[in-house]
Amino acid sequence: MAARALWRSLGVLSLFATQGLKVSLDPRRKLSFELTLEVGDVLHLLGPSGCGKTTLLRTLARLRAPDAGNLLLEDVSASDIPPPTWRRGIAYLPQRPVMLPGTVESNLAAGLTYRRAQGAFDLQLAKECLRGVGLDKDLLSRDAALLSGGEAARIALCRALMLNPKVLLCDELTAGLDEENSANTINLLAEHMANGAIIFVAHDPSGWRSHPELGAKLREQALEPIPLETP
Amino acid sequence: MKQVILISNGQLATSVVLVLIAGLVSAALRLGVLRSLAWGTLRTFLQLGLIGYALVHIFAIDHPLLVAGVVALMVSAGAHAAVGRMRHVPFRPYLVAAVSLGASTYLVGIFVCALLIGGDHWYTGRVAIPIAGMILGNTLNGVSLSLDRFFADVRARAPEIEQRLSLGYERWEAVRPQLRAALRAGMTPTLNALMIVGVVSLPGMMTGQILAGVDPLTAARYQIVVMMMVAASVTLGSLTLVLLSYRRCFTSDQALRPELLTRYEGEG
Repeated sequence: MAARALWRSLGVLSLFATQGLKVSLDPRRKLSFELTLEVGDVLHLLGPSGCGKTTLLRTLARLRAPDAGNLLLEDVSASDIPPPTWRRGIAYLPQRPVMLPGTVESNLAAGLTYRRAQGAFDLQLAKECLRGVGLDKDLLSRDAALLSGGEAARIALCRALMLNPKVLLCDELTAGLDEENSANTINLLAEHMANGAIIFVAHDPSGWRSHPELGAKLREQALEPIPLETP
Repeated sequence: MKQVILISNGQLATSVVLVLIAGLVSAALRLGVLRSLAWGTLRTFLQLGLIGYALVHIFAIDHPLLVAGVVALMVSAGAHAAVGRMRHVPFRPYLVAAVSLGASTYLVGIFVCALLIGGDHWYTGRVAIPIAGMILGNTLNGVSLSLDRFFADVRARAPEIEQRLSLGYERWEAVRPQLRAALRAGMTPTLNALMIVGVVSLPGMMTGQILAGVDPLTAARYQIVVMMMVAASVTLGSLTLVLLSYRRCFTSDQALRPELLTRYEGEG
């Protein structure tokens, strides 16, 4: 992949990596895992409910502190990157999308309109994103609180993509979508994240089959790579 | 000045009749407040009686350091009372409550006493202590309301705050709507009082002055100063307390503290 070659030529070893990460799910259960992602990687995270998939994603987004270990973004330790900067680079989409008070447009601009935001809100790009996930641009003026679950999930994705993140963490992103919208959403993701990496949790990974991916399963207490079927 | 209307011991004791009537009604309706009413009445008699005697002696000594010390004690008791009223705050913010109350009380109190009503002897106990008491009584209500509201809101809106953090917001930006709502909540009783004073209610100080024989126009002037003073101190105290405390919602990694997230985290 061209982007990966360019990225390697710049001397960056990995886009995103963990080092000896340990996370407590409860006092008796601890997860320990190592993962390394390069540009273009799509990591599909499998595992039964309650095994720690969400906890893992929240830890990677630094919304939760690990018990031990370190995170690296482009070989720079998380301790050297302020959390707000980190979160602009590692976008996290929670299982239940959260709309901020205001219109859809203000939500799409939310990551770019606060005091220390980097970059400007591009309305044209926002409209393209909406079209990409099968939503009409007329939605921009609607109160975000009135969106359906599926619409909110896609708006949340567009909002995250507006920040141009390096890594996207998706927790059940396509769960509430029909097959067509699910495919559209995944295609948009793949297009926008071509120079980044994606970790996604989804019970039905079929929509992702057309994209290069790694597989991993949270089993017992560690992250195990597993072979995934190719189309 | 006209003659002061004095209250004899007999009249003071007779005032309890009113509470007895209230107590009998509450007992008949089984409201469960009889005990609190009795305890509150006893405490009022004891506390005001003791402070009356103490003030007689403090006014007699009338040393500025003693006055400052008494005000400090009042601030400390006020902080304790303010913290005791907080139900949603996951820690006991005695120190920050004392700092906020102390800052607003001393700042507004000195301004009012020295520049407005105290004259040359603004630092005397007779001027400074009642003013500090009025500031504290109102401010502690405002600060406890504001911080309590802040943490209740942060819990209720945790997903929204986390969403802002996920978009790269700094801590104070992530909770700015909650900070605003908290300050409004703390100031609402004061704002309401500003709206209705003189129309619906005659405040205690003005009533007391009129009963003590002061000309109503003079009493009204004093009351205006007191209302301005209270509005300023409540704003200042609430703002200081909320700004000194909001970081306690966050971990060292600028994430919301796990105990504020119990409603929705841990979904697998």
